[in-house]
Amino acid sequence: MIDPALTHLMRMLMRAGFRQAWRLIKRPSGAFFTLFMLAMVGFGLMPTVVMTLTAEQQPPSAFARVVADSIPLLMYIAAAAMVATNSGEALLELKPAELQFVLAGPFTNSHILSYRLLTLAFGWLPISVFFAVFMLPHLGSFLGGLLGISSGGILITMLAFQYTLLKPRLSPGVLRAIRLAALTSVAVILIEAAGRVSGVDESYSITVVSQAINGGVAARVLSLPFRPFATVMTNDLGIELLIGQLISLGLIAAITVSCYRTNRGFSELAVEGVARRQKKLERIRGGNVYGFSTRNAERSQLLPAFGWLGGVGPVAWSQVTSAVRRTGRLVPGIVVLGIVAAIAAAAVLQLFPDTIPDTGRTYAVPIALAASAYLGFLLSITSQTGFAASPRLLTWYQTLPIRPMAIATGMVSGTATLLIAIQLALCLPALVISSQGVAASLSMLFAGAAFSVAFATMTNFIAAVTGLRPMPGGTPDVFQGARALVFMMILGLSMTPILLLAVGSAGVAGAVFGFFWTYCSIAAGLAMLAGLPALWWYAGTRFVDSDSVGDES
Amino acid sequence: MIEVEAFVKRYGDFVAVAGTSFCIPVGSVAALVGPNGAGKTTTIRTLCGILRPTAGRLRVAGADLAVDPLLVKQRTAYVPDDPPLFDTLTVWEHLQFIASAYRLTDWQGDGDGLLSRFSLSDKKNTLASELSRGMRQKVAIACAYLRSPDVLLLDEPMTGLDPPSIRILKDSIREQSQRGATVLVSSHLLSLVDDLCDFLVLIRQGRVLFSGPLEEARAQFGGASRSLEEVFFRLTGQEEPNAPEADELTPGEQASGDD
Repeated sequence: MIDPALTHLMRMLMRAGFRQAWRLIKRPSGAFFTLFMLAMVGFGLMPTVVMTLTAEQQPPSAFARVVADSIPLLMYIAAAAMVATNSGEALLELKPAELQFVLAGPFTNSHILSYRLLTLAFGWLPISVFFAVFMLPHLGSFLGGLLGISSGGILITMLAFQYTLLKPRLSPGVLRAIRLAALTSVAVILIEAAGRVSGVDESYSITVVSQAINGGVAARVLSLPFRPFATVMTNDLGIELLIGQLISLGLIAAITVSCYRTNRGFSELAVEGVARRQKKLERIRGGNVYGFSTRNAERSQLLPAFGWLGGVGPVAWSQVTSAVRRTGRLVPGIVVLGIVAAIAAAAVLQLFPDTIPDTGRTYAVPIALAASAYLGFLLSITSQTGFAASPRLLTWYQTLPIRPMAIATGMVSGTATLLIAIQLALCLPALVISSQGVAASLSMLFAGAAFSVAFATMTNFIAAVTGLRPMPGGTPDVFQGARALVFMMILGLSMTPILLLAVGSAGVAGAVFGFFWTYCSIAAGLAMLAGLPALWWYAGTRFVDSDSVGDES
Repeated sequence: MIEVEAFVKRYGDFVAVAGTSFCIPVGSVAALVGPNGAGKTTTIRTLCGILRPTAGRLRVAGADLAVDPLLVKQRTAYVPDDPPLFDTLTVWEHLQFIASAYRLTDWQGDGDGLLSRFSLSDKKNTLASELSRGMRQKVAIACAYLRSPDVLLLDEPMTGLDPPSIRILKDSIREQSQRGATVLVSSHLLSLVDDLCDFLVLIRQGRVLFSGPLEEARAQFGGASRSLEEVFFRLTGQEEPNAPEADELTPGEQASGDD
């Protein structure tokens, strides 16, 4: 079933993984990440532990019943979605090194399939343990939860795997039919659920809605094969759990046997998978996190050159062009939506002037600014612009005969452009419905733009000074999530003094000129901008003097 | 001209370059050769201003790196091994970026000429993400040539190129040298060095074993075959356990070796 050499390789890779983790933990930064992650997980599990300890003798909560009722249907939808979206292909994406040492090795398709399934299972097991602990108050027992979650996940994975293995043997028409059937079945469930929910006579509650969704004929029939897994998860240790687990294992065994009997093209599929994975890794390393469309590889020039501008121009031009292209149609799409929403809001206000309450109209612009700040934060931290670009790409900027401060100033422009574009898009409808005067609204927009520039500056500053990236580069590893969280934490802390200064300045302006939006917003905006040149100078100097640029880290 | 005097580069406790000195005359095509980990890339990256020297004096095209690093960058072009490009910019936009960053005027004709020479004309408006490894290399070289630098630093420039492109690149390097540019090529391809270069800097473990005209190296260390390969193995002491180590060479043999 599996060649001893492959089990040996798995053992060695596992040991190497632990060794690498230990090496990272031993370093001060690694130790900090580990503690940070443990604290996060600890806080996440704390309520579970408390609930488990205190609710030992109580009957299952309403939420627990909802979970038990919903699991089979959720599992069916997950399996259908995996088939419809060809997610099984991702399961065949072995590591590039495995192309040479496993796929090209002296192993049969069955050996390689066993190797892949076991590596997936070993990866899924710790996640199952985590979920079993996390959901403990809503499960029958820890053991049942662990068995149910792990075997349920394995069944869904195996179904997707089986579909992928069968694909080369099936005609395009049959494949289309299977995908259509999967999507149609989900659509039928949704339509049935919508009908049942709208037809409920009693007042809505989570239990009533859950029963309406899960009690439908289509939902019950289609989710039937997944019921044993829910039984295992939610029942106390006993005969029912045992029977449920035996049925679950039987289903997994059947689909596994079927996979082994149909694994003839597995190697070819895996080779394609490795190529896909390699391309994906190269793309992410290059900073193209969104996977922007390269279907149209030919592009006309997006923006004319900005001119010299003391060295800021060339850097800013490259940053803005990259940032806009990298986010694809997202930014223009948001702007168009903003314009449409503004026109719609104007029309609604004309026809129904009292639709929007006064409070909403007063605070429309600040609310839009807050929403755009959040959206901009999500977009900008994943777009790898400025000093957060891949270290190798930054070599370009380090070889330029441009002063450090000009480089740093130009580097901010990519992120700032994205943030300001989002801000304008969300603020357009807000400006239409706002009951504030033009001066007050525009001054708030100025404060928002100043916040965007300050935020972009700080993102670059942290990347240049600490070497941390919002989206860490390199081959993904278990510490990347932790590094991203640490970046966000540092970013939040770094923005605090700027925001405090802005609030303080707004307060002083209010005390001197009166508490009007106009004065307070302008004062806050100016305060946020005041210290930025110093940050640009320091970040630029650190970047140019840095020795790590050009090396992939 | 490239003048390097007692150059030291340390990364923490690790010494990448341990006090090297060499001088490459104007208009030379020099080879920077050495085994893996010799300090070639560190030397080149320091010469183009990316890395700061820990100690020593480096003058590139008449500008002192410590005194005026911006002038060094203005006069130097660096093409790294496997050059990174902006995936979101087209080939032409890369040239445009270089033109604006180095304040070039009327560069479009030269840009078109370079693209044509490196068979990139039909890729002018193609995103860099869609280019093959060799094409990316050619775009980086075209960007370097566009501004006619006084010093060209090329790190493994032939990697990924097809035979016609290698020939074009070799011809173009000679032309750069003829117009007065100093070219420093780091490469493991000794046949390329033999064919292209007239000056040799051989380093190992951060120390210069030889620097001087290639003919001189051949005459002194090339043995009967007078081959560069022989020079390399004799001076680095690799592959041939019985060959004399650099330290064991006679004073006459060491005369041309710096460090």
